[in-house]
Amino acid sequence: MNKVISINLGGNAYQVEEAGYELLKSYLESALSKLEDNPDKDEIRLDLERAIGEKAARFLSAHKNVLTAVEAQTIIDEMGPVSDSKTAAEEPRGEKKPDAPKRLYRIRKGALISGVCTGIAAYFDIDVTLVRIIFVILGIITHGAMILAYFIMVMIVPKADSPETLARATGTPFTAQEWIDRARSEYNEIAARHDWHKWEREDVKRAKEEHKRAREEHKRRREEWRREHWHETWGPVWGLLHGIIGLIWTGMWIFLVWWAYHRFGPVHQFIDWLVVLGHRFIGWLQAKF
Amino acid sequence: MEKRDDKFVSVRKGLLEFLVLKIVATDKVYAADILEKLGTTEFATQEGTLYPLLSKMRRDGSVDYEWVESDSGPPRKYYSLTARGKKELEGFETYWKDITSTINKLGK
Repeated sequence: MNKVISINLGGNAYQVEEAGYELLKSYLESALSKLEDNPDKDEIRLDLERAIGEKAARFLSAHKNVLTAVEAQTIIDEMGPVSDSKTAAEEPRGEKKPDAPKRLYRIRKGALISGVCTGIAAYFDIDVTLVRIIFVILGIITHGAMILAYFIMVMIVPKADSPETLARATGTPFTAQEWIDRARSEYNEIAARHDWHKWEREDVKRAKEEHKRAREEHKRRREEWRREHWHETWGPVWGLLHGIIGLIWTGMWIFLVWWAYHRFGPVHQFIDWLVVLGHRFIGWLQAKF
Repeated sequence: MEKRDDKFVSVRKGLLEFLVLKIVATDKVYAADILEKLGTTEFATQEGTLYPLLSKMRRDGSVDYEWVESDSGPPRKYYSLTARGKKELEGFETYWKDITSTINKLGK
């Protein structure tokens, strides 16, 4: 028994299983991101929606009025990845087709503080550890001014919180299949987050267990990923090195903030300002409740 | 469809627009007709590529469309060639002849 969602495809209503809806949604979102600079993008979106609708009609009849996730997948495979024709037409003239432009985002995955370093590492395609070492060195050289720069980056660099932005942050060209995989993992993540909220209301124990299981699953998957991506013999060494550097990284930050607070005026003022802001917020909370 | 050498991908991509012009020139067609006609050739393509291309060709003024009611579902966009599209197609056909004769002459 699957939840069914009603969707509007080019002006007609269709009923789709929830997982199928997620697939179609991420397909159309990826299409829109490819057509970002196209003046006709809304019209093309409607064309694509209508085409999906026509293909969906093939699977539907008077006695079967819900499109399954598998059928949605079939439709997406038939539609093929969307490519802006501007680049397709220009290619034979010898112009290189540009990849989706890379942009700087903060990436939470693998982050120690807020993902600034992981984002920079992805942007320049270098090891995150190296970025952290550079940050710490710069922090010492600039007498802590780097801390200010870091917090400014935390505030102004957007977080890569969707498959689309994550693809842009890492610059990986995405295929339909990759999109679907990402949509699935995102869906699982949302589902896990949903469980979190359930803690307050229902069966606390069960939700906690579910959360634990999800976390273990996540851990297991990450381990798997590591095993695939790092050379097997160097994997544990790398893991240890990353762990040590992570510890040093966190320690350095605590030390740098403490040190800069006592030595460097602007940092002092900034942190004092944060404290004042915190006090105001608490005051505001007290006044409100 | 058999796999062709990847070196020819850009050739096919570049020619696609003219093949669509050729197909549209024969009759008023809608997107699925175009896909069907191309489907049996080495130029087989998918909606994801065709719709952006058609919209670009319409923007360039070489094709235009009109809405036609359909018996089996929502109305469809039927594309036809404009005067400009005709000229473009003629230009392409002469150019294509030139290219093929050049290719045939060279290296013999």
